[in-house]
Amino acid sequence: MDAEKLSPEVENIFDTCVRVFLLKGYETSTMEDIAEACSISPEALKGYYATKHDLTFAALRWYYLKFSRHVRDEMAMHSDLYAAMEAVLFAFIEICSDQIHANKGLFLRTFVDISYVDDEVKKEFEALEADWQGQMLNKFRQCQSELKNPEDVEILAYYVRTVIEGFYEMVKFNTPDEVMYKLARVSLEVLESRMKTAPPPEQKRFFDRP
Amino acid sequence: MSSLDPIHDGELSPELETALDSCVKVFMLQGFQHATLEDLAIASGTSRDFIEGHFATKEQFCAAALRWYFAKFYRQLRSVLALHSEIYPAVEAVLYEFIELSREQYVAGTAMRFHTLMDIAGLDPDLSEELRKMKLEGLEHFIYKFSECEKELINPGEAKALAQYFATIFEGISIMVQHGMSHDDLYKMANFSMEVLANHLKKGSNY
Repeated sequence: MDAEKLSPEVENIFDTCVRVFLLKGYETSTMEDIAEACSISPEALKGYYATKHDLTFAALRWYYLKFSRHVRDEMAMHSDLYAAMEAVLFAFIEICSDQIHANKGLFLRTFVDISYVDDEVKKEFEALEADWQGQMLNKFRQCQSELKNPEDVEILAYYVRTVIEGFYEMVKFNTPDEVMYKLARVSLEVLESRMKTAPPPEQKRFFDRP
Repeated sequence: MSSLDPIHDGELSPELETALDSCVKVFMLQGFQHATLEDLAIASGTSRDFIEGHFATKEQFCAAALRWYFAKFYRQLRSVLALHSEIYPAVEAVLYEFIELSREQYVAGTAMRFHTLMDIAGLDPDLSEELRKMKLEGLEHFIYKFSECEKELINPGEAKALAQYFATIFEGISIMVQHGMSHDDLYKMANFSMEVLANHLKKGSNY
């Protein structure tokens, strides 16, 4: 599935289906309930996804790919580690913030919770998780010569991941964008102190940009 | 709501915690709209009379469950924070305590569906406001501690931003615990974040 090429209608279906799951239940809600909430016919919904299970899978993948694709693109655009991670954090804040401003929910955690009661969703979730973490780790490995201690790659990748997970919740809690960008700046001090060469001052000023 | 709320300051037995968690599972599988107080009674292994005696509505139950989760963490973390007058040991101790509490819940398999409960609350205007207040209460207490200790910082004006940075780390750690991050790695995350605080302390501090 290409997260970039989804129509707004399909994105709306993904967002709405989680709301329906929360209000009407993951087990007890029907495709008809979801179609009604999306203001489309059940036939039209089934034209996209044959079953509720197919829809859940697609929505989970959409949530992940929406973020991971942007993150991967940002990492690919920057050859040096510091600039890449800075861009990743900024991009992540922007995507989360756009979701909130578009009145879309940040429902990834609910999918995670659903995975505890649905083994197939759990497998898919774990595969997406591994892919997400793997992308981050690959970038750190590619750039490990920039670090004072190349053995730090794995734990630094985990740190950036921890910060990103924290950002998700902070944006959800309506933390203003300008505060989020400051948090990105502060978070990157951990990476900065481990770089052989400090990032240039003009790069650090980039943090102040809203 | 609080006058009817049987869950005071997070004081719940492990049995009641498990019962609450089962109720949240009911919400997730059957939906907040569809679940009845009777469903909650069955899930929690109590009677409908017991549930209705404590909660007039599902919303009230939901608010109480949220309050339980937050109160449990806040009470413990607040007391740890109060034990230390300097900001570095205070934050370090709170982070370590948070890791222990979160790991405890992860290992016990309780509060695994807490985020679903928060997402449910987010769809109800009153519960959403209640949730916002609970989260704000924790953050403000943390900001207050940083403000109290702002003289230790190179730039006292950074107190609030640093508190928000650590709030981010708490949220991140909480999720990484659920993703099964090892105990050692969680402590490494905490120690990385402590480096940030050390960067902002006046020279001459011992950290």
